[in-house]
Amino acid sequence: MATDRNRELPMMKLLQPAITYLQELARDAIAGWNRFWFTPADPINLAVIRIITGFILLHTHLATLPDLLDFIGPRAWIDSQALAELQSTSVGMGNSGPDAWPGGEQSIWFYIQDPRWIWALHVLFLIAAVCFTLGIFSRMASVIVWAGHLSYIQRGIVIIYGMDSVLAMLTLYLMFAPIGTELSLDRWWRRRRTPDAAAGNDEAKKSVAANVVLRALQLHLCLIYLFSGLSKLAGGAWWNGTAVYTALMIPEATLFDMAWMARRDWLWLVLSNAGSFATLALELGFPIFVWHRRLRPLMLASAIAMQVGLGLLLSLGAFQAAMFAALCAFFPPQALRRWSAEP
Amino acid sequence: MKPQPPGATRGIFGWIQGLVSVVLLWHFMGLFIAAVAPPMPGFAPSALISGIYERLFRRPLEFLGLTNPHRYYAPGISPFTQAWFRATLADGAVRWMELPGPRNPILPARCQRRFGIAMALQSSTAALPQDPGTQVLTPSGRLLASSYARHVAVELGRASASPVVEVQVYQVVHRIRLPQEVQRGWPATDLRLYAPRYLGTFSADGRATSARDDAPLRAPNIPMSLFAATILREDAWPAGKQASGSTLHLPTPIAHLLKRIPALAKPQDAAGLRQRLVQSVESLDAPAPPRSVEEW
Repeated sequence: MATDRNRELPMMKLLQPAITYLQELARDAIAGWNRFWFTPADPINLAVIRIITGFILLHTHLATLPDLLDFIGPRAWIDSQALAELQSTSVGMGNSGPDAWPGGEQSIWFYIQDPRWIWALHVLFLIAAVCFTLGIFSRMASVIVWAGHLSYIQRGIVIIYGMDSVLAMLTLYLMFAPIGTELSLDRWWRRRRTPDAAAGNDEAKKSVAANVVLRALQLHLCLIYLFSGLSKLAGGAWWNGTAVYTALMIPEATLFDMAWMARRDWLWLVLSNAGSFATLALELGFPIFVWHRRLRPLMLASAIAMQVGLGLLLSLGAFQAAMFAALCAFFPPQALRRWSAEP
Repeated sequence: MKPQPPGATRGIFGWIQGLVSVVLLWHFMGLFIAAVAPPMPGFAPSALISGIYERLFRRPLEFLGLTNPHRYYAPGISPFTQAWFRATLADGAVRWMELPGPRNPILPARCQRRFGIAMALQSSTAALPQDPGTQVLTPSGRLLASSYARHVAVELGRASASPVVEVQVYQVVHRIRLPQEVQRGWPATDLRLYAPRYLGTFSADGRATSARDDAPLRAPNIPMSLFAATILREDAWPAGKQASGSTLHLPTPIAHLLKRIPALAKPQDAAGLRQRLVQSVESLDAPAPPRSVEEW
């Protein structure tokens, strides 16, 4: 026994630095995790994100209002007969095979087929979107808006595009945040009723829930940029610099005729190569460098410039606006307070 | 008392923090796996990742609408797919309808949604296992085409005096112009940029009339010159002056062709029409720009 212990001791001595290192690493990781997620944060960013998201929802749903029954009605492009077949056969929703359908997981519109009820409930959803934007009964409005938008795209099945997944992300996270405490009619109403209670100092306004949601938005946005950049690396057009030319020459996806740039070989080559490699650099660099205090403004400015550029050139609905809303999670709250003149 | 680091909490709030931490870890692990699980062209996904995604994350993330792998314009940029429909009314008249229809710079969201409807046809066909050269509609493709045909029958029937009795469905790939083609003056709607595929003929109630219910629905490619010549001969010329353009709603490239070459709108000898059509379109091309020494 004694000999075994003597043999173990040098081994323990040898391992001790490694064990101490791992213990400290774990302690630091937990402390860092808690600091990252659970330090109270200013909810002003969330209020700005709420307003932009609300406008996007209103714009998107009002723009497609004439097509409401074409998308979710009983005689929609995917009509109730096709829907019933999808829900009952192996080619249907929930199937993960190569013949699977996107979306269609769950929707209130699977159960409501009467056009009059569809219109009535959709109007209620639009009212909730107005309340969400203005910050009236914000928490309840956020739940209705999340469920309403998700129901709409899950029923539409084939109408989903990139903007919808960004909106699904924004509306999901905002449900868990104090989104009505700033820049809202809820706040105005509260201040009118109890002026003393509403006038707190900056520290009192901060909340842990606001920080959790802001961090979730930041991380999710980084994930979007990272995978968007990584998947481009598997495409030849991004390596040979022709991707931007190709994207801008799709007549259905652009707001203006971009044929002018193809009339001179040097012109399209320069523009397309510069655009393609800048896109790759930004999408791959953003998730890393945006966490660096000094580089964050540069990364944000570049990302906003890219989204504005794409918004002016491509007809992607409100996808760019939704990405801009998510980028607001990185904005310094002091600047947002200054811009919004919110004390 | 020992000072606590920022964010650290004890007691009930500590437990809540722990629970929230587990949920967050789980959520972001799911998002990460959802992004890497779908196959990339030319690369098989990891069997382990696919299994984890399928068993643990797919259903909850689908419920939340968060399964997007964020491959925007990646890995490659594919041409857009349009959907064209040729509806025959009970009185014998013909109406065309196309998705997404005219571009709307004011309301791009509307256009984008209609695009999704057309783009869903992209994966509607597959090679027949016993004859890889023959494309047929997949079960979901058949379901989709049938539903679209019913919708078109209702929509066009509502706008016409006579009900729709039959709808032909086409999936049309609109290729992107190469710089050389732009330099030779090809417009974005040049016929040579379109590749139609016939997806079947359906009755107004969505029943496939071009094949038996249990038979595979063949989906052949149609050369655009043949397609355009057939439309001219069977739809545009019989419709005559009254019906040309406005009520017939010809597909955009055919309507643009008739604007560029008005002579084609007038009925003429059907024999050799396809050849004349090709020559007419090619006659509009600007001469090829001089090539550099390196290209020789």
